[in-house]
Amino acid sequence: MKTLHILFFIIVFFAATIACRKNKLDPAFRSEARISLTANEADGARADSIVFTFAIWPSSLVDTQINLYAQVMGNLVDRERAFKVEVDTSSTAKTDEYEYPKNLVVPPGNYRVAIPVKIKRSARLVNAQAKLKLNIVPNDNFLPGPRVSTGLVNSGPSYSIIWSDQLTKPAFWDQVGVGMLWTVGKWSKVKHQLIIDATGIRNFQDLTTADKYYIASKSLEYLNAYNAGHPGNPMKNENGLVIDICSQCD
Amino acid sequence: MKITNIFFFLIAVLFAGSCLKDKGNYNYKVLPDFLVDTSGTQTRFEVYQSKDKITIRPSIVYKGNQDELKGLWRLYVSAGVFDTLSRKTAIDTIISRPPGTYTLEFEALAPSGLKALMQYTVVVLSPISSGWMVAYEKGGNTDVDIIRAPEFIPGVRDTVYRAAYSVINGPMPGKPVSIFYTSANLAHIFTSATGVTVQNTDFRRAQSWSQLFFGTGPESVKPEGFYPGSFNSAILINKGEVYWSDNNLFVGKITADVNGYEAAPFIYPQYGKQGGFYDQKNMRFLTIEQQSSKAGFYPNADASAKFNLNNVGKNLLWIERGFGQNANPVDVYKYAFFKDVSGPGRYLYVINTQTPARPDIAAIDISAIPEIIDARFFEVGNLGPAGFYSTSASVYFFQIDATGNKISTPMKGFQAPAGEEITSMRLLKGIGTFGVNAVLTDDSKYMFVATWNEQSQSGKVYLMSVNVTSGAINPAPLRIWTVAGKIGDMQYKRS
Repeated sequence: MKTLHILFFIIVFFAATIACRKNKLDPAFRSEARISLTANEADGARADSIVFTFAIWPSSLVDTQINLYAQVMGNLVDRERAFKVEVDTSSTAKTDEYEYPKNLVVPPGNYRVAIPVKIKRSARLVNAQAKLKLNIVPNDNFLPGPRVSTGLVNSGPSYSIIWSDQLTKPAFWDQVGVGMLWTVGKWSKVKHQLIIDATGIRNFQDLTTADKYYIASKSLEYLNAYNAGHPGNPMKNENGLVIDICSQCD
Repeated sequence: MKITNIFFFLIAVLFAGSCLKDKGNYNYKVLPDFLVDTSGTQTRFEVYQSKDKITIRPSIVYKGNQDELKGLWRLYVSAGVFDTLSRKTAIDTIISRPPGTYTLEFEALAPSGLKALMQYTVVVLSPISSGWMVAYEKGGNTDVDIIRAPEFIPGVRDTVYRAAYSVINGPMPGKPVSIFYTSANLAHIFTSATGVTVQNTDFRRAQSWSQLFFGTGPESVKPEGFYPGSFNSAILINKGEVYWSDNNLFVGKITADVNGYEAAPFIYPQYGKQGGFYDQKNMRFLTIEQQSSKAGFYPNADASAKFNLNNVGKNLLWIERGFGQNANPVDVYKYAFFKDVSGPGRYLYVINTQTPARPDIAAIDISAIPEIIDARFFEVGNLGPAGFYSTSASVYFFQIDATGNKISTPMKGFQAPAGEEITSMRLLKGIGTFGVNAVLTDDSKYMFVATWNEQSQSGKVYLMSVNVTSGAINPAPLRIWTVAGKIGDMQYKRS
């Protein structure tokens, strides 16, 4: 009887002690730290690249800076961690057409750092495009991050900057609800230049419907005045097609 | 046994402990009375929008210096939206919010941080209801009177809101060109010098001339005509150029082709389009497409047609929707008065714009009818084949026989008294509402004739009743009002 009582109280005692222990979950990310490259949507980045053209800027602009971002996956740490990028072999930019910092570090306690890439307006870009694709190189601190393509801008082990000195088709031009296709029509270099000449508006991103109606109206007026001044020789695009300003037209 | 005793003792202590009252560790104070005493006071107020002041001096019960209290008056407009009307303990202000029932909250704040709250109900009433808007010129400025009478607004007394525009906004420069009820919210007013929109409920200016345009507006201010389009749009003709709107902003100017255009100051509604207009320069009709600044063109008519929309070859005097319609799609016929480019020829065309190959419902030579050469104003009914024209002294009515391609002999329905000159003639019609088919019960039954007496410097508005089928004008005016200036345009405001 006595032994039974003692046994009972011992069990209860132990059970009670265990019940009082705080259950600590392990908060740690128990995997290798990784680092991904990405860019800002607001800077014009879409999917896996950011496109820039010098053509819409005055010729006094000889270079500009585009920021890519390195984003850490894993725990924040209290020490500086170096990471490394290299130029992908598929890049078409010449080595003197860009500069980027060679010693890249993630400062203590940080998870996102900018990589300022200076791109240059070289003469050949009037007729060509330069593409700089940067890859994350694995080192002691980081492995390359996985490719994530949810949303408008991807992040992943590589990211590209594409630039030229010619008007390039904005990535959102044909995008439903956002693009210009339904107000001014199909994109062409000539039409792009016409819109800039007619309205002075260079950036077609995040425009309201009223903005687009206004741009279409001003551009149409400009085109009509040009065509009236060139009888029998209406404005044509770089592919030789007569251009117009209307929904989905050339 | 001993252990069992200890066990029961522990249980007993726990039981006893549970009986202990938890007093917490807060300090409690009895607060002094601080409240808004509303016994016997008014808590519901009715005011006319932008007109009446709301005056409340709440009786605040507060043990302390009343002067150290701060007030906050907030008018709740919608969820999360409020107007802060005052930061004093009493309020004496005008409410310019649109008609409706609002909660007005008063908050008294003592230096200790204590607050006393009271909520009042404020009903804002529309100071200006529906009525016949009369835009007139006085001293180089335009003003608007709004006339209400039981003939066309059942159950009301004969009333006139005088100088509705200038009372609230100050003077509007220029001579009246066009006034139109555009939507349940807004009316447009254009003068020779400017243009504005006003709120229908109190005639407070909502947009000035520059605020009417997206981006840069026209180079010169020269409004010539304004009409609501078919698709909730508004169309302005400024110096022969056509502007279309999106959400109450003129966003686009119509461009036709290398031949250009010069728009006559009229817009007509058309199914599937924002509207249409006549190009005086190339003597053709053009359409205003939906959401586009690119004009549409009519195909050429068959050789057998009496006229060709793409090449009319005449000058347009007036065009508006009228009686009769194309069956499918339903689209009302347009009635247009033309004159020869030179010479006395006058013509009435009844147009079906849905069948441009055969648009000629009628093409009537009216050169021989009385005083047509001096006609200044034109009208057609929506409910019957009634037509009207007016010289500076007389209004004639006639009936249109589209099938027989003829009209009845016009009869004089109104003669301006000696010394008075007719300055505007309008039928009360459903043209101001959206969609091409709006025909309302009061449509085409009343005619308003405005006159100006140069000698006495006074204007008059005559209300005449009209037979919707024959157009016959009852010669005895139903009512006559005096207006302080020379009337330039009139239109019905539906709310």
